[in-house]
Amino acid sequence: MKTPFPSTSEVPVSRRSFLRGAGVLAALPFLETVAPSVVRAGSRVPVKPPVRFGIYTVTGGTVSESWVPQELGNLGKLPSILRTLEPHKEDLVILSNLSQSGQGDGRINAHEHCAYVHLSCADTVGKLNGKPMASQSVDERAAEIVGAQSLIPAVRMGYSGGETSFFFDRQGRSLGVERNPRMAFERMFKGRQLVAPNWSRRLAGGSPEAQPLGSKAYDAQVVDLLLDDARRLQKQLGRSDQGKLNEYLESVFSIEQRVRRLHERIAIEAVDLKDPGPSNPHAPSNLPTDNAAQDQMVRAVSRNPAIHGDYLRVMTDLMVLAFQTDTTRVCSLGLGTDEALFPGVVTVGYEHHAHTLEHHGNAARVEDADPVAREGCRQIHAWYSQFFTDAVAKMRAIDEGGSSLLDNTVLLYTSYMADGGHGTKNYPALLAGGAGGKLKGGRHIAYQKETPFANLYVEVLDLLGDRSGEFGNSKTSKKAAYEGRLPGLV
Amino acid sequence: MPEQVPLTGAVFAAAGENGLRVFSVDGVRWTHQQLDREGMLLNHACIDGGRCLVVGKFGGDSVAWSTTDGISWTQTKLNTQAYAGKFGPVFSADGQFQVIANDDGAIPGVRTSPDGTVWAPRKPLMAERKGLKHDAGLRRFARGNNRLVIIGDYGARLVRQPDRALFEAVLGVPAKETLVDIAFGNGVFVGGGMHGLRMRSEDGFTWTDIVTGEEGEHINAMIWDGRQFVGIGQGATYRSVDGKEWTRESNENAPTNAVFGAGIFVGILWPGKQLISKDGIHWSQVHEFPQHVLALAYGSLHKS
Repeated sequence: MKTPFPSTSEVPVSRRSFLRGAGVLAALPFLETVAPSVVRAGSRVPVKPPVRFGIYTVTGGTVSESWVPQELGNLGKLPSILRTLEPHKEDLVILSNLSQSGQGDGRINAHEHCAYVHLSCADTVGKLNGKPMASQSVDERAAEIVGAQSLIPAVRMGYSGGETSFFFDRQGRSLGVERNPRMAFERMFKGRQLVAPNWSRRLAGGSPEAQPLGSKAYDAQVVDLLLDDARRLQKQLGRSDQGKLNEYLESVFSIEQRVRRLHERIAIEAVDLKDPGPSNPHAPSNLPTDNAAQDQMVRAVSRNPAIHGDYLRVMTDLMVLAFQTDTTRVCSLGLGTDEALFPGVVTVGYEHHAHTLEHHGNAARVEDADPVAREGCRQIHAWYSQFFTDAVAKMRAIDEGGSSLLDNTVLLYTSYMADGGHGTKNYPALLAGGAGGKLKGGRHIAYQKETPFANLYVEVLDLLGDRSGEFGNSKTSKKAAYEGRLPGLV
Repeated sequence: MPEQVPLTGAVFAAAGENGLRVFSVDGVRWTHQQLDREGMLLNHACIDGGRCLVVGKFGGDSVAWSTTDGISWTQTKLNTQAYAGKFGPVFSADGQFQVIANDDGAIPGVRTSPDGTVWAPRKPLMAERKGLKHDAGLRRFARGNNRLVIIGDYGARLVRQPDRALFEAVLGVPAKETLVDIAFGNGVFVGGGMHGLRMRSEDGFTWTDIVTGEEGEHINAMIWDGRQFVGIGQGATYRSVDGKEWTRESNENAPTNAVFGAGIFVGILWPGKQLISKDGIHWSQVHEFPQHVLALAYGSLHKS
C-alpha cells in the first residue's frame, strides 16, 4: 500500500517545487527532509554531483586469507592487508568469489592472460599481429556513458602496459597509459586553473553554454588544416595505407574534440573561479618539478620502495584531483609492477623481488606455498593498501557541497591477478564510496564460487547509467551466475 | 675517493645497491667505500682465506667481486650466458669459495673458486632434485660437526655429510617449517623462521625442539655469538645456549639481517641504515648509506 506522503529522502524534491516553496521554507527551521537535496548554504537548487568511477588496481594478486574477511555481512575487524582502511570501513563493500573464466588464445603467457581479461572480462584474449587483443575494458565502456560530460572521457595512468595491458577500446585494441606523473598533470591541467566545480550553479543551469569559436583558436585551426590535408591525401592511397590514415584521422579527430571540449570547459571554469565549489584543489605536492626528476622517479620505481611510494602517492593525488576538478569522471590507476623490489617493505627473509615472491608464495594448496614468500606478498599488499587508504581519506575530505567526493564516487580496489600464481579465482575486490547515495558500505558479500567478475562491472556501469545489463562475459561465461548481476550489492 | 690504506685483519663487510662495497673494523665507522653502476645489486658476501667475495647481479649477468685489501677489486662474471642461472648464496668450504646456482627445475649447482676470480665449471650440488620443490631457491648456509647444512624455500634442507661430495635433501619437511636463517654452535645447528619459529639439529637431518613465538616476530638472523644462539626477530630477540631453552625479549629497531664479530652485532635496515648492538636486543643506528645494504659478512683480510 502506498503511503500518502512518501519520505522526501527517498523521493527527490524537484527544483521547481523547491523553488516554489522557497519563500515559505525560508521562514521555517532547516528541514532534514529537504537537506539531501540542498547542497550549499544559501543554494536554491537541488545539487547532486555526478558519479565518478575510479579503478585502483595493483599488480601481483594478493594473499586471500589476509584480504577477505571471514565473516559475511557487516564488516568487523578488517583482515591485515586492509587494516589501514579500518577507519573507512563504513565506506567499503568487500566482494568475494569473483573470478575470471576468459581463455587465452595460446599466444600469450600467464601474466598477459590475467592482464587482458582483468578489465575486459572477454571470453577470449590473445594477440593479433603481435599486439594485445581483448574486448572493450570497463573504463572505456564507462567513458562512453559518462565521458562526454567531462573534459577527458577517461584517464589512465600508472605502470600498466606491455605484458600487463589492462585497457582496451571497443575494437579490442590496447589503449595507452600515462606513466609519467608530470605529463599526466600537464595533459589534464595545462592551460587551466585548478578550480572546484560549483555543482549547485552548474546543475541549476548557471554555467555558460559552449560558445562557438568565432575566430578559431590557433590549435583548432591547426587541427582543421591537418584534417583537410589528410582527406585530400586519402583519395590517393591504397587500401592498406588508407587504414593507417584512418587511424591517424581518428587521432586527429579526437584532438579536435579535445580542443572543443577544452574551450567549453575553460568558459565554464571561468564562472566557477568567481564562485567556486567549497573545496580547494591544488597540484600534488610531490609532483616532479621537471622532466629529469620525473624520469628519475619512473626509472627508480621498480628498485626503490621509497620512490615507488612517492610515485603511488602522486598518481593517487592526480586521480583525486582529476575527479575533484571534474576533469574526468572515469580514472584508472594501474599501479605496481611484478618486477619491483621491496626491501624494507618485505621484512622477512632475503627475497625482495615481487615476481619471485609471487611465484613462491603460491601453490595449489596454501599450505604448500613457501610461507616466507607468502608473508612477503602479504606485506607488499598491505603496503599497497596504505596508498589506497590515502585515496579514500582524501576523497572523503573533499566537500562537494553537502556530500563528499567519496560519496559521489565508486572506486574499485583490486588486482590484475587473483593471486601471485596467475590465479583467476576469487580476486581481491572492494568498492569504496557511495556512488551518489546508491551504494551502502560496511559490508562483505560473498557470491557463489567463480561468479564472473564481469557481473561486478555490470553493476558499476549500471550505477553510471548504463541499462544494457551486460558486460564482457557476464552472460556468456561458462560460470555465468545470477543472470549476470550481483544481487544485494546495490 | 676510496681510502688508500690497505685493510688487514678482522673486518665487517657490507654490500648492496649500485655496486656498494664498504668495510668497517668496529661496525661504527665505515670506510673503503666503492660503488659501481646504477642498478647493480650485490646481495651475498663472504670473507674467508684473507679475501672478501661479494656476489650479485647487473642486468642479465651474475657478477662476483673479490678483494684482499678493500682497495683493489677484481670483477668476474659467474654466468657464461646472459640470464643463465641465479647465483647465491656464497660461503666457504674445503678451502674454496662456493657459490650456489639456483635454477628452477634443475639440480642446484655450485661453482668454486680459490680466490674469487678464477671459477671452476659448474658442478651439481646433489645427485637428484628429489626433496626440492620445482622453483625452490637455496638461501643460507652453516657448517659444523664435519658437515654442511643449507636451507632454502618451501622448507628445503640439504646436508653434506663428512667425506661426501654431494648434498642430500631432507625429505618430508612441511613448508610451514621453512627456516630463514641457520647457525652452528655448541655442537648443534639451530634455525629460525617466521613467527619466532626455532628448532635444533645435531646432524641436519633430524630437527627437534620446534617452538614458535608470537605472530609477526619473524626471525631473520640466527647467530652464534660464541656463548649462545641469538635469533633476531621483528619485535623480539630470542636467546638460547643449546637451542632447547629460550628466553625472549622485546627488541628495538631490529635489523633485517645481522652478523656478529669482535664482540658486537652489526645489522642492516632499509634504506641503507647500519645498526649496531651489544646484545642483539637494543639497536642503534650508526650510519646511513644512500644505497640500500643487502649483505653483511665478518672475517679477516690480508694481502696475499
